[in-house]
Amino acid sequence: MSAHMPLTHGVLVVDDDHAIRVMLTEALEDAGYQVLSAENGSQALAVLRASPIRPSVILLDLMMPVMSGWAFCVEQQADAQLASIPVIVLSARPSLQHEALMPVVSEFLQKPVDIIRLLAVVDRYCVEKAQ
Amino acid sequence: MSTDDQINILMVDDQPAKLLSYETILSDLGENMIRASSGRQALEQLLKTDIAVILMDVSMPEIGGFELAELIRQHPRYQKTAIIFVSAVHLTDLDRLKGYAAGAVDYVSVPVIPEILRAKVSIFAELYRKTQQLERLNHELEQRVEERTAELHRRAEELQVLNAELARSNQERQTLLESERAARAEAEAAVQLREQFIAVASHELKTPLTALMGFGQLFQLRAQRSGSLSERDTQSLERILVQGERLHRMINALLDVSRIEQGRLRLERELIDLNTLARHTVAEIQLMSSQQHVDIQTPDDPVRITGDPLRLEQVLYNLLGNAMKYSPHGGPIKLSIVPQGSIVRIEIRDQGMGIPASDLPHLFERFYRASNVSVDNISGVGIGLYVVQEIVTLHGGTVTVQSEEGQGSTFTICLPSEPTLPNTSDAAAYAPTPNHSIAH
Repeated sequence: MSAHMPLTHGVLVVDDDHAIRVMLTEALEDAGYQVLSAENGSQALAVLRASPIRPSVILLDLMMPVMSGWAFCVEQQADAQLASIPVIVLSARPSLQHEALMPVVSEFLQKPVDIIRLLAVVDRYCVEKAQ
Repeated sequence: MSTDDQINILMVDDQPAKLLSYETILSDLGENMIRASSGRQALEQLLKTDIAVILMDVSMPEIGGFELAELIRQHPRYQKTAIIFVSAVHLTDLDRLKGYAAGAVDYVSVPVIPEILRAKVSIFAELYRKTQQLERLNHELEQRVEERTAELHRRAEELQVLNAELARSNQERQTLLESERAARAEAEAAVQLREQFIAVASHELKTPLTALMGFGQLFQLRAQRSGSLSERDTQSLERILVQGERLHRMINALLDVSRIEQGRLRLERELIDLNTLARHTVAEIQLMSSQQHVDIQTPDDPVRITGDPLRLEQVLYNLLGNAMKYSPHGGPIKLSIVPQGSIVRIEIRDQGMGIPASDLPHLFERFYRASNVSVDNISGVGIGLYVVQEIVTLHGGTVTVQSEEGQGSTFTICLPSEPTLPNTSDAAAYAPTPNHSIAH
């Protein structure tokens, strides 16, 4: 799946769990993405504002210390530079259906996540963006 | 007049002829006549018997009438007994006074006029009777008063006892109420703590599981790409992932129980085709356990219902999983979907070990397991059917079971079906994904 994709597609992984960050990073790198990572919402904002690469997709955990995924979304929407980056929420929670986040989040995936499905979803947003 | 009612009349005279004549005169009265020919005999009779009226001669040898009357009066029983003196000689007023002082109540002079004697004795007899009656009544009355007093006393005591008991039971009730309140608060706190624990534990368990399963899959993908893994290793890796899925389902089942208990199990409804959903679930479960074949029968046309696809998959998954689990010696498993007017019947039939009749009423209770499962040592915690019933009920449906031990079981789900819509594009939107068997 990385064959038709330029290497410049970046993905930001935001999760407080180190093992999950490494796993997601490796899976995405294996698929040819350039991966940025952050431990919480506020670090994610800092990475986004400092990085020369603008990621095509953000993979976001919800329950994180310092700044949660919910708070990150609010900040991201308030920043005109970042508001348009699609967010894929990756959480152990059962659903987003009744949450205020629904309109802001492009996709919702549950943990544990199927890697193939995850890559397919990320791929879709990158392709959409490329078009 | 019966013997009991007769009163005793004592006649005292030293002349037998007189005694005889008195008796004759008084016989009409029907009383008991007792004779005494001397003062001594009279006293003897008085000691032996209760005498009502004494008729006595004033002048007798040994003890005279007045003397005898005085002696009689000394006895407490005879202080008021009527004594009629018979006097042969004319009595002076002084004699009469002496007589009255001695205790006489009346006099009869000789010659005795029978009617007068009879009338006098009769009056005193009657007086005696009336007095006795009065005394008896008095006695009875006293007794009754005593009884009533005793009764009142007893009642008062009973009331006191009751009052004390009431006070004590009030106190007990108060104590009980307080301890019950405390126990309830404690139980509520315990429930809340448990729910919190389950929620946190499940979330905390899911985090390492996510990394574990992710790395497992990553490993699998890399091995597929490089072709470096032996067939045995590939199989082992698959098993690791299958077991990870199993662990995942257990964690979710625990979370479901917690949600059901808090009334927080919610459906995310959409229009779905049951046929697609069932076929997908069967394919999924066959991947996990290829030894047992599931025969699926669905109608040609889509069967549309409004429901939560993940939850309904979970229902089918649990029931099919049970059918396999409780058919330890294999045997066919059949899933059929039959639309029947406004409802859809889903039947899952196995020919496994069956369920004892005594367990059937409890089968859908939380943590309940049939009594025959320990025989074949089949693991489980008794959550699956509880969750199935909750989900089906939330869909407005019912789930029932028919089973005979050793003959297999049939679970039947009835769900309200969707009236056929002209636009069916929504139903087609349901696309199973590899992750769908993990229902949350």
